[in-house]
Amino acid sequence: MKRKIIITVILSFFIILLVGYTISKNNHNVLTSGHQRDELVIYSSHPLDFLRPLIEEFESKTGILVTVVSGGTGQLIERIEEEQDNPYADILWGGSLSSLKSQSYLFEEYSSINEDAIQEEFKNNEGMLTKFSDVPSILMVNTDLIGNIQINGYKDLLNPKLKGKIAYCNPAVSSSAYEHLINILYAMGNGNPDEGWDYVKLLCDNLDGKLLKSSTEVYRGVENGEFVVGLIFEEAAAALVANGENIKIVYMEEGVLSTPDCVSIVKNSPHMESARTFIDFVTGYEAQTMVTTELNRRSVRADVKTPKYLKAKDEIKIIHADDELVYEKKKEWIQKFKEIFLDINEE
Amino acid sequence: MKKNKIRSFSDNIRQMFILYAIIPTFLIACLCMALILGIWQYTVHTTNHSANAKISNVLEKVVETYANEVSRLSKDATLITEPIDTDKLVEIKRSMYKLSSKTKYAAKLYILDSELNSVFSDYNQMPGFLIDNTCYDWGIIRKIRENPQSISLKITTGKEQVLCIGTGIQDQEEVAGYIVVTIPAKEFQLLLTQVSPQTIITDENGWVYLTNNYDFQDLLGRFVRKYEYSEGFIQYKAKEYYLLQNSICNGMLRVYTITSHDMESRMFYIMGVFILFIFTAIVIITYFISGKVAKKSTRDIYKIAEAFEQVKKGNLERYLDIKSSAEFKEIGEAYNLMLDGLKNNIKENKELTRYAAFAQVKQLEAQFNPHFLFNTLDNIRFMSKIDSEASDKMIVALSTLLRYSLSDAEEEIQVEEDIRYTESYLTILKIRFNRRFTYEIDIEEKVKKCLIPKLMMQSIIENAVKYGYAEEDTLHVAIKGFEKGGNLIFICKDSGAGIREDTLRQIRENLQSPVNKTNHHGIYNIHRRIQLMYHGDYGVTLESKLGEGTVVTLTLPIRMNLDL
Repeated sequence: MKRKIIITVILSFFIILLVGYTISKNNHNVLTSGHQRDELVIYSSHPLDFLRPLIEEFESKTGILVTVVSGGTGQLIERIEEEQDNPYADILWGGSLSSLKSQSYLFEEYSSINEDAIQEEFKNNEGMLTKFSDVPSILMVNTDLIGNIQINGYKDLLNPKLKGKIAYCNPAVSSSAYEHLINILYAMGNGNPDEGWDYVKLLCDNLDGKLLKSSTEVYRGVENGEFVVGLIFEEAAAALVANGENIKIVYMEEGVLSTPDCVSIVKNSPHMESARTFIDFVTGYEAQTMVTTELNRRSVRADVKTPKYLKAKDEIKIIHADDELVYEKKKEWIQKFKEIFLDINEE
Repeated sequence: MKKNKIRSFSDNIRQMFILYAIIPTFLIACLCMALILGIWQYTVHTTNHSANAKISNVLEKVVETYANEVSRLSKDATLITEPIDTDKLVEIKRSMYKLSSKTKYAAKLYILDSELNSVFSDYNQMPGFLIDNTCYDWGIIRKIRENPQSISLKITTGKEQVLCIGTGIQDQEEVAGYIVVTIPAKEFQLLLTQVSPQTIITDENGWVYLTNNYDFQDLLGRFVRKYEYSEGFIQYKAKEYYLLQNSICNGMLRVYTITSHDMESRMFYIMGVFILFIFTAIVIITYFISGKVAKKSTRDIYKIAEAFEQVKKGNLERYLDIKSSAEFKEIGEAYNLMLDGLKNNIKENKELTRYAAFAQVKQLEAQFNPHFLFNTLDNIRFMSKIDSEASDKMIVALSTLLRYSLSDAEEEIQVEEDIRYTESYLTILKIRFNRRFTYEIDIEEKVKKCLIPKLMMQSIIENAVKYGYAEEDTLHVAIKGFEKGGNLIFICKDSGAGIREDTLRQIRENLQSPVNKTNHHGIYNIHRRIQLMYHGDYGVTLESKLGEGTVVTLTLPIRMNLDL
């Protein structure tokens, strides 16, 4: 009798548990879509606000689902380097030509359908480096804090009144900072980069030990008044100008280096077809127009006009660097800068 | 045996507690919890579902209303081919106002020609959904171009989210223009506050149109892909939610409603643990309490059992005093009454027995030999003629003897006193038989003060005389009295005829039976009397040899005081 009762009790208990569990399980289902959709993984150093409308339209137009991994160009390239044998990324979007060229073995050769419409200087001559936008290096000035100081170019940065008030980040991690370094060497060296190092020393001195970690810190720093002037790429400042913020863009009178940034397919990408579609999309007329009208950048296409609020290129003193030399000397120059900076700060 | 009884009683009580009180209560509590859980889950589901339905319905209706308007207007190709005159303008505007008040959500209308220029002159700025009037392959325009005859829906993700409803204006098989109605997301903000779950409205790819929940979005502003198609109870970022989704407008829009029930879940969990804890405590407490309770009850049972044991052993003085519970108290009192009753019974029985014995003894005594009287009286009569002195002596002796025997002052008398009266008897015999009868009496000094039944000696001698003379001429009787083995022994040895062997056997047998089956009373009476008075291994034994004589042995207890 006793045994029967115990068994009944335990059984009924279990039944109650089981019923409850089944009911709750039925109420819990993490489903996935019935039909598989194509996917694409993009590593990008672009700001999220910049990416949003482009990716949204891409997903809507093509039905391909996009996963975005954000990070600095340097970090992302490193990651692609590590994942070479089993690539996770399909696309690397962002990073200047100079910073990517030495590692172009990481990328797949592809010529987009829009190549014909691309401006001559921005054609995909390398084979795997499709250009996305044209990015001049500029000086970004906080008009509230500038006062009477004149800033028209690099030499004005040596003004003792600006000591410690200059936002510049490490060229080792930021491609825009590296672009500025090349810009400085060529502009202040009168076309001969070796002659530009004297200026670099003087500039480092005027940085007063402050070297920022990312380009984001540069434009944020100027925007919130921590710094008076920053060395940055055009779009960051242009967005703020377009917003009506107290920012002014200065195109260096010594010369402005305008280098394109790239969008590339990672070698052995898992979604090759989708990746190609993407390259075609971002170099398309609509995307490039959007980039200029809404996103404050200059298009690499010949048929897209410069946005009205950005100075036309022919009004700027554009200088060019020797691509080959730049490519050769990258490591050396970054190292040299590091040494100079550390030297100065030890004194 | 006793131990087993106690243990199983205690276990019984425990078992009953657990079986009939605790387990049912526990099961009921569990059932209640399960029921409450079930009801709560159901409530969560229905609340969420109805919220979702409400928002979905409103949205669908609004979209449908404006879609219909857009459709209606798109049929009129003249909007593009000719400039819109004022009347028409007013009519279109009035229509929009009507819709706006009917649906309670305001929208803006755009009519664009094939070059994406606005022909509806009200708005000077570029519509938000256009990048540039050179971009055809973008956003709502692209969608309309893909399906110019049907309604297209698109959410723009610009500075603020806007829902575009549009279609193409056909002019002879060609797309002559575009008509688009836009509804900004903030129009629906108030709607979202009218339901308690949080809502996220997205397009078919999960891009958010309007939301009041910010946990379920990824960095780009899309609904988290992992849960895009989920329904029901989910866990996200270590919190509990109930999620429902609904696809509306041909799958172009999705409405997600999320109920956060983290707090309730936690409450249920705590309640469950609490109940379990309480019941474990109850079970443990019951286990110990039932042991104590059982012990207390069994103590009384044990008391009762022991009392009965005592009665079995003969101890009738063990009374019960139980006050613990009414039933046991009754048992105790009844037991005490029973004990008293028993004791009374026994006392009465004893008295009866004693009385019977006493009566029997009295009866036996009454059988004092009448033959002796006759014979003696005869002798006296004879003697009175011959020897008056001798007859005088006989009369005195006889009266003394009779007086002695009739006085029932005591039933027992001291040995030396009884011997004195026995002498009277012997005197009578001596006178009667003269030289033919001789006797000797030898009593040990230390037994002279012992108590023996009255006239015992006399009886023995009488017996010896009666049967001893059979053939012989003379008879010698020797009486000895002494103490041996703690008992008082009297031996009466006569030199008489003796008893035949079979007769001796008969007499011996008769002595054993409780009733005298023969006509010979003497020895039997003596033996019976001793047995009734003394209850023990006392009595009469016979030895005899035919022709030689008889030895009668009396075994009596040594009694010094008067107590019976």
